[in-house]
Amino acid sequence: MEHYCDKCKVKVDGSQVFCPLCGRRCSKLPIGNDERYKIFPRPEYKNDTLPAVINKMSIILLLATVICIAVELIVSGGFWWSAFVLASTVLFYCALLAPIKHRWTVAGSLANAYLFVGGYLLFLELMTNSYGWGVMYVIPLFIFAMSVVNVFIMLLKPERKWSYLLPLLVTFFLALTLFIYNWAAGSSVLWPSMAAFFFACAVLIYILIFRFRSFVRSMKKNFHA
Amino acid sequence: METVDKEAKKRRKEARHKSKRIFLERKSTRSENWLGLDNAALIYPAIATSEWSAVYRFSAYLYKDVVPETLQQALNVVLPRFPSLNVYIRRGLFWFYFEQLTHTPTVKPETANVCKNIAFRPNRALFRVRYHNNKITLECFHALTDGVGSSNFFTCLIAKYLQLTGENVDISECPINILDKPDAEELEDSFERYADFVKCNARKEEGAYQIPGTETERLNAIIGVMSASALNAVAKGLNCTITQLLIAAYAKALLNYSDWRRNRKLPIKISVPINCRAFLPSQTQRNFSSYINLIFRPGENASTIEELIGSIKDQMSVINADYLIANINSNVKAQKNPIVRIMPLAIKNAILKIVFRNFGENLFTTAISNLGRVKVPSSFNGLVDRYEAMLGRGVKNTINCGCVTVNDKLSISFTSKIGETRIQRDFFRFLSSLGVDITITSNLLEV
Repeated sequence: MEHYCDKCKVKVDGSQVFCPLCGRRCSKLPIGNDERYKIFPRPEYKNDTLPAVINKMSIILLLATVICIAVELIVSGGFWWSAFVLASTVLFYCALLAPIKHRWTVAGSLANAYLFVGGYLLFLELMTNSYGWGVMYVIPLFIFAMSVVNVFIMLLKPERKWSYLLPLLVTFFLALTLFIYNWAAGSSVLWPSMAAFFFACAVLIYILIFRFRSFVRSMKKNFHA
Repeated sequence: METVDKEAKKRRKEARHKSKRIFLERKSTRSENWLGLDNAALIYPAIATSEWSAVYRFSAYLYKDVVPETLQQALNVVLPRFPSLNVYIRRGLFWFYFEQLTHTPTVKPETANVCKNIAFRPNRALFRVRYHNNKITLECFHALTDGVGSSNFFTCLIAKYLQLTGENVDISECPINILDKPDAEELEDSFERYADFVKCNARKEEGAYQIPGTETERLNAIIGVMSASALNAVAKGLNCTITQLLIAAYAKALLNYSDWRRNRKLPIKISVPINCRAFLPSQTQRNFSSYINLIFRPGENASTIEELIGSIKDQMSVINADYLIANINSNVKAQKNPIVRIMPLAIKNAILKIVFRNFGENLFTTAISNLGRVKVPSSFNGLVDRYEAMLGRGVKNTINCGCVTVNDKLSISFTSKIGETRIQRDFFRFLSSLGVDITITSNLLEV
């Protein structure tokens, strides 16, 4: 069924009550909501609440950090405890909230989290002067855990193994840097960083040697210019 | 004159040889289930946001209600025939690339939000197939293919669906026979094939007037359906083609727009996509189109329809193979620049965003894309009422127009992100005044 708009001199589809061009009412029928005859379905306003929730959380975090810094500056005139709060806020936002908000892939989120958590541990080590416990034991243990997580994920999702090359490379370079640092600094305990480095190396070498063709293919895809 | 012909022939011959070489190179790529983006596609993923989705839409109105299960079956059969669409997008270090999907996307009920952006997720298709009552809709991200490629896919999908519902449809009459294996040439980047870098078109262009208005949350669609043969008769009377008549009517509506009449600093420019396959032979099912920006100034183009048509004909007379190759050359040259090639993707994306915001949509007021008469099986006559083609949302361009003809029904769809409908109203009123019977429909909310 069609109506006619006298003003625009056009026929108006039966599903419309008003002329879409001039807004003139061209049907005497009551405004119907029968979906059966609608050319377009009723609009759905599905708002994605996740970014809004994360934005609110980020603002609360930022406010808390600013208050901590202000209170410490006023009370003791220093910046010691607030620095920990600030570092934790940065870690929480960059390693967790931002990847969720921007819906990063698991591989990208992992690589990013490794970098930030590694950086945070280094910050704790430098700030607390823990006599090298951080660089000698805690960070190597963390790198070891990273390698285990990488292997575990690659075993769980073998069809998408190459997506996890990035966290693998990040783990390897972190392990290498730490091993060189401990070795150059003449640390008394070298075996944890050495073990973490060799484990990361072993995983990467396995991938490179036994999956060389797949590796080359993955490189071609990712690095084609 | 003969020398020019010889040169053109030589260039075509070189292009053929180059094409063979590219096929051989691509062969190894295809076996690896990934595909680099074609030249025209490079910009879309870099700049696509919820504001500028780069998604366009085809709809087919059948005479019977859609059976979703059968539609899903049809999609399962047809999609593997179109490997260029059976992909999702991924980020490389230097460029985006496509990787083959491991599953067929699910058909879903339609929503009123037309041409909504498609998020880039692992293993998620870059097109949607939707249904609503008797309507089947395909929404496609422009990086996959242009209007011709997606209309071929859409027609095959509809034909297969109708065949599965028990109708007598000859699949071999489709533009692409789904029983054949995909041809290697259908996956080629034809821009690369035809780029000879002999002559490049100048990129510097004057800015264009942008239509102001009250922005709405949803994309508003106003569709006018009319008889193609009736409009063709009117066009013949005015000694022009349907496309030229539609552009002239659109230009007339824009020239009469009150805001522009008050503020005539910038010209009105209408961007018209050109199907390069019509001038440069290619079987590709990926992007292979160029464009021309038609300029309308108050002094130069008088407002009578005959004079506007004359001006459009003059401006469109430059379109030939050499013009398109020069256009292609300037784009491919930028892509092949060694600095651009080794630039990391994140930096490229940031630069492309700035370039597009300032030099992309700024250079034209609106776009009108006429796909013409789409080749469909003859049995569609009693089964499919009409097709609809809609262009997606622009960042600066507030209104765009898509036209398509099937079974002698020409559908003109205006999509706009502003609430004002003055231009659409003037356009359809003008066509109506030429004696063409028009039926209007819309997704505008009735309050």
